[in-house]
Amino acid sequence: MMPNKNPDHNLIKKLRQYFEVDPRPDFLPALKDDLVDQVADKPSPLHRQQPRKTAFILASALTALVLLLFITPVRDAIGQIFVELFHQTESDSIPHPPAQTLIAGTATAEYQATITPNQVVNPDYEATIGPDSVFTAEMILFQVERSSGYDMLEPAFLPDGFELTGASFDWETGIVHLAYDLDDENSLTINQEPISEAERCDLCIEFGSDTNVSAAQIGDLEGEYVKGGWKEDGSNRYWTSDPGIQTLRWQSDDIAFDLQFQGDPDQISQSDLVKIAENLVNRIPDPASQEVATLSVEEVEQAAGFDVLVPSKVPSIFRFSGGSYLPEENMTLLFYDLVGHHTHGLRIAQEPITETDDCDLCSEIGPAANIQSVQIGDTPGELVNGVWIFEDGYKKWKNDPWMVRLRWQSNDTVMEIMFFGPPMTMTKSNMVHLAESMASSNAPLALFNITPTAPSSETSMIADPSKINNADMTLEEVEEAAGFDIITPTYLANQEFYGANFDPRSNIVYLFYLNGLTIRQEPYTGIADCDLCAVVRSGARFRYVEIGDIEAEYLYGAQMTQHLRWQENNTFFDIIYDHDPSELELDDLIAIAESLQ
Amino acid sequence: MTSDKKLALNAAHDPKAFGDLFDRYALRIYRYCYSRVQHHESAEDITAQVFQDALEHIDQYKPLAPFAAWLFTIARRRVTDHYRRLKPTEELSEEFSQGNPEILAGVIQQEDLQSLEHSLRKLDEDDLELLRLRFAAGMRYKEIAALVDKTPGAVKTATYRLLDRLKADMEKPDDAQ
Repeated sequence: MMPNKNPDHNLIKKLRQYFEVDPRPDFLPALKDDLVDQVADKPSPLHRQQPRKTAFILASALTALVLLLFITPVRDAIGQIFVELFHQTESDSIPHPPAQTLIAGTATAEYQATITPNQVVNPDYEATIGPDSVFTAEMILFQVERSSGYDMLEPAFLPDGFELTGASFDWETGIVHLAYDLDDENSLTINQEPISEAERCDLCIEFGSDTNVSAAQIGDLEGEYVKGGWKEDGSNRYWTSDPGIQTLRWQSDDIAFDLQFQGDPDQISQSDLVKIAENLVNRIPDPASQEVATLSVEEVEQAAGFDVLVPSKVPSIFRFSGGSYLPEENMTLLFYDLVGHHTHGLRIAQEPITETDDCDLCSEIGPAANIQSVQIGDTPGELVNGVWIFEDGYKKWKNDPWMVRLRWQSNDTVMEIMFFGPPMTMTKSNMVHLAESMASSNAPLALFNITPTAPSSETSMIADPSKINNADMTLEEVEEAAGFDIITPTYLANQEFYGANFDPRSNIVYLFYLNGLTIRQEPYTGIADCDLCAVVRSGARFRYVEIGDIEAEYLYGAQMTQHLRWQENNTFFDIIYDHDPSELELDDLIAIAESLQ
Repeated sequence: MTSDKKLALNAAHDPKAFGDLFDRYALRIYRYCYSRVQHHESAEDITAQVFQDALEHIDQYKPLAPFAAWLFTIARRRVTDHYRRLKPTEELSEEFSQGNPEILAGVIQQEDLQSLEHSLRKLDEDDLELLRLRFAAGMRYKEIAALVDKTPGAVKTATYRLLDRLKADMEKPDDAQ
């Protein structure tokens, strides 16, 4: 038999009373004094190990240095403060009140909705993104509200100690469930259901026949309040007048509300429930979420009052979607969507710190998390895969490859790049590379920044030069038309030159080869004028590769074209191969690139 | 509030850190010990031994597990030692002695608690220990889980099942008990 999900709170109270035995009043204080004295009397290890005066002086100097560096608060010789970037908790499971409603379903639906046929997702990885792979409870609310399609309400008032633990949307009934818990035994559920067009109201189930239903006034609205609820015993469902279950119901406009508390009857009264009900308000988006990040980088800087660094080498698969400033945390956030998938992407956070314990960004991770040390230029950083999830009523650390965080400290600013999306899209080296490209927003942007180009109205008037069918120029003709030197490969693998073309509007030269190879080149004078630097395709994976001494970006995926892109000698190159990837692999592309003369 | 982990890492040489840990756990340790030995002086002795052990070995605490689990491991070991040391003829004078005397003095609650005690006597040692850890020691499910090497969910389910059984037993008519 399954245990009752709602244990008898009277019994729990009796058990607590039964075991509530106190020692003599003077026993614990006396014991504490004795033990604390022992701690105070313990000789310092330094004193034991450094008996000689010189050693003592050395130890003192060392201690002073350590204090200077790590304690008061920690500063280096130039006054920099060091913080612990990732705090590891004692356990991978943090007691989190059990969610009465399921998070599952909503997030899954949300996730599935973001998958498009073109997205490159390894099926093995799909299984790892559980519906419980969530960032914050607030983010769940956002997703639930979007799923429900109506403006759900959330409480502006809750009795002390209650925290949001979960939310879900029932597609069948249209009910939104919000779960708030005080502790293991006291939980509050707020259910809301639109009933305007529905023929049934699933929240309006009958109370037990012997229930004393009392009227309740919720502002101007009339509601019902009862103690007791339905329970299940095997296959039987029965009404219990358990005072540990309290329900308040009412309707407002076309929404039915049901507010249910389960737990110690002394924790919440009818008037508490009424107060919660009277203070239900439209949801206020989490200021830390992408949902409200609508500022440009310049606006973020103005709001923050400090320089915001931006990555000068954002891979083409990302697009800047907006930024925000959190005044309470003094933190800036920049969001970049993985193109085509707004729930996947990058978040770059920056927080100036003044004290070692003042780092809001340095959130906790579970002890099972694997902190990898990385080097960002000369600066040490830490990289972690994983996320806190809800499981079995506990907040639990999961080494989820879908969530990558890289943290480091630059002068007195803590930086974090967080990527959420298909594993291997942002490998460790990709993350480090991105971090190393962080520069002042005033600095000139480098080649891989994104400059989406709007289609020209003239496009339809001329033959599309990007199509091989229109490639009717020879190499000499295209060089003459372009007015700059054309670079051609001496190594072609199994490719054969077909024809060339030139687009005078974008200044791009196209070299087409039979069997799927195209080489594009464009004189590079800056990111603002670089048409080839624009986004190429959504859903790609990418990594950095080297072409001799030149750094290049390789975009690839099972169902997509391969790109090898780089800038060299004031020219931007993009080698494209869109046939069977097994026929022409990265090594071949690099060999072709290296043979360009 | 400073975490147990941080306090434990400093407790060996920081009197305040050790004192803070003591404040958090002393009464819980005492109540757990009392629930095991049902004897005030013995419970006090064991509590003192538990914290003396903790002080001497706190540098061995590995913050991978909850501090509570580490501390109550010592407490359980000390209680076991206590029973081993008892001579065969000695008996605990307050074996299952009706819990809190002040509460039992309340006439209204006395019957309820007697009924509870009556049902508790029928439980096996593992079940009883689960209740002690949860309600005397005030441990959370994840702390108990770390102590008994089970998942928090398994501990919680076991506790709820146990409470169901206990309630059912208490609701049986007297003559049926």
